Amino acid sequence: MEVKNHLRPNKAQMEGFFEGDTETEITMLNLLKFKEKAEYEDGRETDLTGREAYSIYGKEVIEHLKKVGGKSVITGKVSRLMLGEVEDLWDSIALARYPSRKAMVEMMMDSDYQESEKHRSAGLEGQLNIEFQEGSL
Amino acid sequence: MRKYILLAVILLTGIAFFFFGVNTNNNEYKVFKNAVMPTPVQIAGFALGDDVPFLAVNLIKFKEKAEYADGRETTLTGEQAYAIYADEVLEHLSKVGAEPILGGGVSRLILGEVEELWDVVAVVRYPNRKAMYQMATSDEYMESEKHRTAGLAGQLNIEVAEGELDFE
Repeated sequence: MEVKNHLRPNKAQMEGFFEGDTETEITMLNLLKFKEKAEYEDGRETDLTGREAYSIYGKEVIEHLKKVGGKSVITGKVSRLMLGEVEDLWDSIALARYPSRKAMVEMMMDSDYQESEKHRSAGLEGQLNIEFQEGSL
Repeated sequence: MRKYILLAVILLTGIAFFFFGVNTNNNEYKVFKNAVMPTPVQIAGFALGDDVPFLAVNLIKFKEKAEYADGRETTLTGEQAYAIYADEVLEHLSKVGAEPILGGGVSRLILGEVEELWDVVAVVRYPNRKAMYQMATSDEYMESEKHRTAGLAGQLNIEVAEGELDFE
């Protein structure tokens, strides 16, 4: 099987935020792969690593999450794969809970968030973000 | 002679880059494989590392229909067979001091692409690697595990050292 980490959602993924149940609580599992060295889109000089740049975003996003009623549940470093095979293992994971799809969109559209997001895209090579509904095992 | 070898290397490298590209963008496909059983190297990993708690992040894909290794007849779906395991494993987890943290049905992928999306995410916290190994090799667990392999098409299980949000 193949997997592609991305930085931004595609059109269909963006539209998905407005489809189906947009009011129920969701949980997001982020599988993160960092760049070796941070690269800012505005071309500014930096000697940060990708992980360091993303960490700036990681700290700031707590506040943005809070504003829309979301919260960070789990974060951590990937140490190894116990089952399965991946060509290029992810570096870290982050689990966040949002009150709804709508709330997540609201956060992403916020100009303060977009300011923090510059550090995210500077540090992140790509990721998977898996939406799931807790409890529906 | 050496000059020609060097030239050949440069040419071949150029051709390789032309066909395969340089691994710098995030649009490149990475290959992954779900599995039901760990490899010998993965099993050996349980004996290594520190005696510290960790999270097991399971990305699970069910079979359409359950298939038991002993060939017994069944009308269960893969998900139903796995649910028997999921129910029984709670007891096995608590015996070694592990606990399920959260889990649920996958609704969609909002970033990235996978050829075939997983059905369920489940996160479990273990006190250490030894505890997980101890559970996985106990007779009682192996009895429950028959339902797991009956229902599971394959999975990734990612070991995570829980940490701060600063990712350092």
